[in-house]
Amino acid sequence: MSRDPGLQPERTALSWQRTGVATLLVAGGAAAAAVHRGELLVVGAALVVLALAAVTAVPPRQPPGHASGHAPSHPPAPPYARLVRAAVATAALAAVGVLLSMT
Amino acid sequence: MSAEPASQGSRSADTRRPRSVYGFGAEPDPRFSMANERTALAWMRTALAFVAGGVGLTSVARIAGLSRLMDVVAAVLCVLGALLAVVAVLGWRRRELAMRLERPLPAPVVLPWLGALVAVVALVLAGYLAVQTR
Repeated sequence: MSRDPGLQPERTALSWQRTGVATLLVAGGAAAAAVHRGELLVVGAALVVLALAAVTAVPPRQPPGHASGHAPSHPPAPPYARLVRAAVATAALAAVGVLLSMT
Repeated sequence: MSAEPASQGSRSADTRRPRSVYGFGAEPDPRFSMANERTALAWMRTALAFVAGGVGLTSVARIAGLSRLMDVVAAVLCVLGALLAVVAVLGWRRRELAMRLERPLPAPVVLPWLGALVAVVALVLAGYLAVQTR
């Protein structure tokens, strides 16, 4: 496989970028809402989620393909850990949202 | 269909996690794996949209002095968002495993529920608006 005409890696990277930006936007909105309420505890929780979202948004380091002598067609890096991180960030944001609607 | 890891040439040991997915079947076309990844990410953004709707609704409700019912709807939206985030991850696992075992892809069971939930939330909000503006 020389060059994928469907630009699959690029599309996947852009999909991650959209998701990361969306997570950061929602986290920022939740933090702003918490500040507006003056709920210090919720502000802290929102800031923690914001940090988590930032970690998820940053792309992982590329594996050293040349150093380990992989063929160019080796399978893509498993996305599971990053996917779970994004889910944890989303669930934590949901918890902040529930806190906001209860206070 | 064996439970052994795929033996693909020079690749020494497949240590990728989760083993409950990568420990079975054969490597699918990488393009299909990446499509599966993007599908999971689309579900994740749907989950984020629910959470964003919940946070936005409770904020607007507070500023505009709407009833506490809107806070209940907002909390429900946030909980649904958290559930959808789990659905995104579990769905990725199910589809990746099905592709590795060359089985048919699982049916999108959550999709009709998602549509129904969005419709219910929209109707509740529309009903509230109709009562308020009468």
